[in-house]
Amino acid sequence: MSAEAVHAESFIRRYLFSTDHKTIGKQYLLTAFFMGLFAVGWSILIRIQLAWPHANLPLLSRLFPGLYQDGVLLPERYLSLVTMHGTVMVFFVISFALVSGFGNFIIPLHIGARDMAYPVLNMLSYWTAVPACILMIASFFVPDGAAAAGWTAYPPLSALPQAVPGSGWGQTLWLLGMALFIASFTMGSLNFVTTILNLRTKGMSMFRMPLTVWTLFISSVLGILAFPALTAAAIMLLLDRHGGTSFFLPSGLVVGGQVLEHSGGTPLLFQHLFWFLGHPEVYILVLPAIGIAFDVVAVFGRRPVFGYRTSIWALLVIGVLSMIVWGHHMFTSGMNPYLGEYFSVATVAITVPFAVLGMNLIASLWRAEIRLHPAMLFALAMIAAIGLGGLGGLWLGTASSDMYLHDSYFVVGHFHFMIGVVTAFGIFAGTYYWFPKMFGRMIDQRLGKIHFWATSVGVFFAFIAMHFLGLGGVLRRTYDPTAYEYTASVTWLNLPISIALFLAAAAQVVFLVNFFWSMFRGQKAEANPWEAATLEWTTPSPAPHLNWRELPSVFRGPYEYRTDGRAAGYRSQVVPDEPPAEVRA
Amino acid sequence: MTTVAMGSSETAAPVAHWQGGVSPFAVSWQKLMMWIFLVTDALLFAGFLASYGFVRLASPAWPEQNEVFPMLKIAAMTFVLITSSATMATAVGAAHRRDLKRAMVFVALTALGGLLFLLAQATEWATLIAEGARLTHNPWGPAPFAAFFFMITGFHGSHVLIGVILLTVVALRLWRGRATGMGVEVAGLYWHFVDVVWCFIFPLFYLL
Amino acid sequence: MERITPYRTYWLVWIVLLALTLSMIVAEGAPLARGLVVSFILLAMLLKVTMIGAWYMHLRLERAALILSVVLATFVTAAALFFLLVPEAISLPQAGP
Repeated sequence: MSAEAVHAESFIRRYLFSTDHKTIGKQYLLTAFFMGLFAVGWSILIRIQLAWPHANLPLLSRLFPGLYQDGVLLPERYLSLVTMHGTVMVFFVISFALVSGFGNFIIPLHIGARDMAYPVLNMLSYWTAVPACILMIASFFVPDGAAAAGWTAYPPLSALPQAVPGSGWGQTLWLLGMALFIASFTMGSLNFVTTILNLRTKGMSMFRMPLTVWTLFISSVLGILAFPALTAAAIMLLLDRHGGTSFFLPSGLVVGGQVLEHSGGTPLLFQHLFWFLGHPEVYILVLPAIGIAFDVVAVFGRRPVFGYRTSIWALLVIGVLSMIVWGHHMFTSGMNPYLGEYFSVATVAITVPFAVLGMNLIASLWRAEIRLHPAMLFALAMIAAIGLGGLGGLWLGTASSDMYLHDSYFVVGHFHFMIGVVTAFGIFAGTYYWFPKMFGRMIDQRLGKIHFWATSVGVFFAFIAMHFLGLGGVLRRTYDPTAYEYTASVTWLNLPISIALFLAAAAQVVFLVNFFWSMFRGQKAEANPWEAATLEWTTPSPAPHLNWRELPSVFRGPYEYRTDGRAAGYRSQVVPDEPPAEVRA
Repeated sequence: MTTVAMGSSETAAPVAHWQGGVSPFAVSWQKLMMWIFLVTDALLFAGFLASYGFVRLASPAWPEQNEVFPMLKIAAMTFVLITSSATMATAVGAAHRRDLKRAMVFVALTALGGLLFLLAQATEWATLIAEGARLTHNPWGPAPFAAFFFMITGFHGSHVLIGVILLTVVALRLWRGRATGMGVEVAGLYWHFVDVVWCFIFPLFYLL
Repeated sequence: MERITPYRTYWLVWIVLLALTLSMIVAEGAPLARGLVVSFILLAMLLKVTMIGAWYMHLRLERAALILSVVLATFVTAAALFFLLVPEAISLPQAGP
């Protein structure tokens, strides 16, 4: 096939049902932004409620008649908002953008492949994800509203249609949407792993791959191993809901004054199955962000990544450990205390490889010649977020301190650092970094910096402050923060937190304007605007169909910047070796 | 630093490390993808079986399987499935020898074995349902027993059904001379996997 | 796959698999200690699975890397799931003897 074949394709084949990995990657990225509008919108409603719990809001009542009544947010809809914000952010924004979006776009370009191993499966993966999105959004428009059992969907709330308003149709649609998402993600992961293992170009050994590819590889493997447990749990939950089984339902449950007929099951089983995926899922999302940070730090710091191999080994250890620490989400569930002890120790052990990654990122900056492009700013801020999130994680991973902090805003602040800030900054860093390769135009740096500072100030303030709310005893998912008098000394923080987050949300408008304006009106990009050494920059921007006229051969590792002391010098992976005599001289 | 050191040492002896272009597993991407898919699918069944183990261990009592299931019939079903695996292996062997006619015959035999298994499964379900077993209700004791039975065998049965359809397609393609050795082998991997799952379900659910 | 397995091998494996299945059924009803019966059945189960994997799925002819990746990934993950659930199950209040 030649590059000219592209022009023969119709619009539908080229932009809608495309099998080109770059188009599919962009489709995922844009879908993630689209879903992000919803998820951020819901969080704004949540923050309005928390900042002004007793205010009468006739305008919002007019705008969202299903959510508000007489100017007041309905408590059960508040739970729906919390649930859907979490679900959509984790699976339909971060996972779409980081793993599916950048994964599809960058893996073949990074390893020197023409496309994914099985492009049709790739297209199928995207078109399975779209109905999943539609189901999730649609669940707001069914009787009794969207799922309200939390993004963790714990039974019995999620298993009994009559438990809370959102447990009816909303929860069913939630489960079906998740089932489609899992199918889509599995198809994507199959492609990623196979492509990375089988389709690398000549000379691209595993230990010459950029760290982004490594992290995506490990994420995909984790997804392949961890998602089936959630699939099993979702199927059993659906049977509990619609088949009358009692896999997760013990005997003696009373709903609405009536004793239910269920017997023999236990909700603890669902918690285990859910977190068997749920915990690796955190790493599925965080690792690619860290991988992008490594690539960005190397390019914009003009230094080789420090400890490339140790980072890979750390990633592998994290991958293994992440599969066996899920119980730290369940310390207060009444789990076997010996098991809790084990989970606690294993969790704290995971900080060791994680610290290796963080330290390698910082050490990569040693004697760096930093270019403060927005991508670099986001990567640097991400290092701070990893540190802050990791420190909070130590408190929560230790069973004794988690007993106090469990289900408090400390948890909310912690996980918003890890899978909120780290991953979002990974998405932004990747977008600013690869934008020229995606659309053939440069993204505006000035707007990018405004976006960065507003976002950072907002999220860092808000999520640090949430830790203090948690230490003060404020519980998460609380509809009315003034309901408990003992938390009065800290709940005043809710207003400044909300304002900070509104600032961060406003910054995303700047980002989207910048994104779409630059896509059509930005300055034309050269093939390698950042003087980067990896393979994707050896092909024109935007990358043509099938990526290269002739597949490149790789001669060196991905991060050879200023290795021979020349200022800003770098050697692309495709540059063959100079004669040995000259190297020695 | 590691990177630099690695780069130079590798370029000194370029063949010392694997140079890319082929899989470290030395298999085609089709086969690799099927293997990875089988891993996820196996873990789905592992999720079901682990849940079954969990609920069974947490239950005060569990029915005596001998009294519930007609063991002779289950044994016959197991024999049929194992035999179909043997015919499938023969078909794959024939495809590798480019003996497409023999491959087609044995793929068709395998599909027939699958159908036979499904038929026996269906009658087994019908018998149990007639005796009062439901997803929600179990005449022999704790309710989750029947629920797990229908769910696990149902999921395995649906896998067998998918396999039968897949094998029929492969047999037709062989008949028309369009199937490749790779296609037969990948379909074979799936079929053996279905057998492997039954190898776990049979003792864990019916015997122990 | 370079080497070709003779047809006869497949059918020898088949005979062993059938014999193992039969012995499992017989063992289940045998008047032996329960622990012994359970261990035998589980062992026979693993043996059957190994034989199907090695000969029918041709893992015997694949590289060690593929065998280890597939087998370890599946079994370690499944074992982690199951064995970390067991202490939970038996410590639940309704659990039997």
